[in-house]
Amino acid sequence: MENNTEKNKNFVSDESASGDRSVSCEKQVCAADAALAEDVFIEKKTSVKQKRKFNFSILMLILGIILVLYSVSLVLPIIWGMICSLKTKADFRTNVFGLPEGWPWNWAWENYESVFQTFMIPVESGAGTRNVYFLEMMWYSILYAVGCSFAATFIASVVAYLVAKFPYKFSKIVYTVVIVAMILPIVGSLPSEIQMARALGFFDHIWGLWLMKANFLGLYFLVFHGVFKNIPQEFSDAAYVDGAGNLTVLFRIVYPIIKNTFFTVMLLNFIAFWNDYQIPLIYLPSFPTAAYGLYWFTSASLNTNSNVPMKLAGCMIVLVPILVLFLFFSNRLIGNITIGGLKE
Amino acid sequence: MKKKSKVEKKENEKFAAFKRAVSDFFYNLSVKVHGKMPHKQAGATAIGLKKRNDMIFYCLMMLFPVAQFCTFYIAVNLNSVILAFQSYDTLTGVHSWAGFDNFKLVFYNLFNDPTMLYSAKNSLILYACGLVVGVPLALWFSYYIYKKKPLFRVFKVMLFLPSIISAIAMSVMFTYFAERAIPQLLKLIFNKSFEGLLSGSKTAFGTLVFYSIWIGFGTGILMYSGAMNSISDSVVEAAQIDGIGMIREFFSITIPLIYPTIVTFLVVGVAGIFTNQMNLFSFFGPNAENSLSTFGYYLYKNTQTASFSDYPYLSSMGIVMTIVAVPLTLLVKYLLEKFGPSTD
Repeated sequence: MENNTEKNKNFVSDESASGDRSVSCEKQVCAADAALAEDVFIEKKTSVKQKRKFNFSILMLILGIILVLYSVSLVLPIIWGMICSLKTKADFRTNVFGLPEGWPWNWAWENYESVFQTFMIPVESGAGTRNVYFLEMMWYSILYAVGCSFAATFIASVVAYLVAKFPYKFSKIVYTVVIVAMILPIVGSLPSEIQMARALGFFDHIWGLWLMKANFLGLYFLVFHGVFKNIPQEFSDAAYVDGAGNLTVLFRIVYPIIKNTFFTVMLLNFIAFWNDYQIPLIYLPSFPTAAYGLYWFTSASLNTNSNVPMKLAGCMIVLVPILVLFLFFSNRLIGNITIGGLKE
Repeated sequence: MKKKSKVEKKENEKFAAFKRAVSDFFYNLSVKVHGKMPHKQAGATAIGLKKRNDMIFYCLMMLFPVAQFCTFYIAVNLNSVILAFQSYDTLTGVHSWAGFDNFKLVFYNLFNDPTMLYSAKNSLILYACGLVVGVPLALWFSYYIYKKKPLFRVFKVMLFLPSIISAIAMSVMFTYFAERAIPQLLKLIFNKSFEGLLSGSKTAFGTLVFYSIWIGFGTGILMYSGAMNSISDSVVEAAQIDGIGMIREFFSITIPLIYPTIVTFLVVGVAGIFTNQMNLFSFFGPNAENSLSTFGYYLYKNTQTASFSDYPYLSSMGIVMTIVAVPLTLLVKYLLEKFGPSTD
């Protein structure tokens, strides 16, 4: 049983959610059928297979080639950026494609150092202004991204749990609201939101954004809803019989079961918030995050003859932690998260 | 040492008092709830008790998410509507009733302001390109991954990579790649000097559309290939026994079976006409050429640089777009569901 839930943990679908066990049974039956069919049609199948293989390869070859080209076109600018971030300003002007001048220990590693020394944003604080440097921005980035991603993931998961496991009428209303909010395209509510944040005192505070991002709307609610529907009720019931309260069941039984999904969703949220510069640009004028700083620094002097390699070094500092995180957890992040159709 | 323990004790006492207060509060609350259910008052069974506890737990856990939703979804959007009918006096800081003045201005600008006309055109072209090029490519790529053809894992990571890279870092690297490296390369090949792809007026729009599609595969691939993976093997096997080709399988089996997921994506995507910024803000900050503008960019840029007095106008523009977008989305949903392949 436990194995079964393990397997289904990442497999989320609001449609298949209702009949987890029946689906897996059906699959087994199908597999048996297929095995039988294989014996019966074995001769016919081999001849078909040969014909089919030819079709396969041409189509898939073309797709494969397109995908290889795509991958190359994607990696090329990134690698080019990495190499160029190690060139001096003069070197970059004359030598656009080649490796940086000199040996690796002579490359312009100082670009990275100067990012921390010269990337700064003047911020109003009390009476005067003070300069926020890149290291401080990184700290704000971490505060912003960790806090917001935890708030968003936690609230989405709690509400999804309540909706999935407590069959009140209100649960149905919440589910419908999420679907409707997902379909309804509300455009241009940003000015109103800014006004609201100012009125509540959330404006220009990182904790204010944590609270603002702690909503349950969106795709991840559906992901959690599917996961919770798939957890057999027996686990919780056993705990209830032993006298556990609802909170105990939620945090000691249910969350350990879904911790993988929780972690995955939180990581996806973390990456999104780490990279986000448009929200901090509006809401956090006194707490610039690293992505915001990068935007500030790159767009302030985009067309002037500024130090391109240093800007690229700044990009690398923002990019590399996420890239490492992604490559490390790529299997988990791009596993099977699926949603089905929209049901109202 | 002693002092510390004293402090600790004090803290503990404080905490205990707090705990007592909280539990008293809950006790009172539960008594009140209990009082409201007279038929269960006498001799509440264990099941009745559990039901009541569930109710209390549910309400308490829902309290914050619902309050958050009411503030940052319902109240924000209502405020947006109210704001649209107001005007703001910068000197006195007073909002006053403005009737339909803002809307008149919006409609006037929609048909006379060249930026708005460009925005409309560009947004529609971008959406159409995404629909005609982006979605089919994403489907074919997902099919390749679903069929587990050579290197499919690598391609999956590659296709998802742009979604996790900071938009600002990616656009900075792409900018310099397109502005410096590509013209240099073309010069080497054709022995003629070329303009940068983004600064050249002829190539800028095309480059931006390409870029949007180029980095936009991530989520689609994840969802489509996830949906394809949940297609029952028996259906595919049966079709293959009948000698179905790869292309035929794609159109007659794969697409109809994942159709609900495609509909979800297309329906949610309609809002993109009004919200897609075409990465203009990442590339140019608030200084993009008017002829490149899109609705999403126009709204974000003006909100970001706006003062209080601009908010009513921006809100009314948002409302006009919402009034167009909502029926459009519902229409697309209706049409896709009516004329799509049956999912049985």
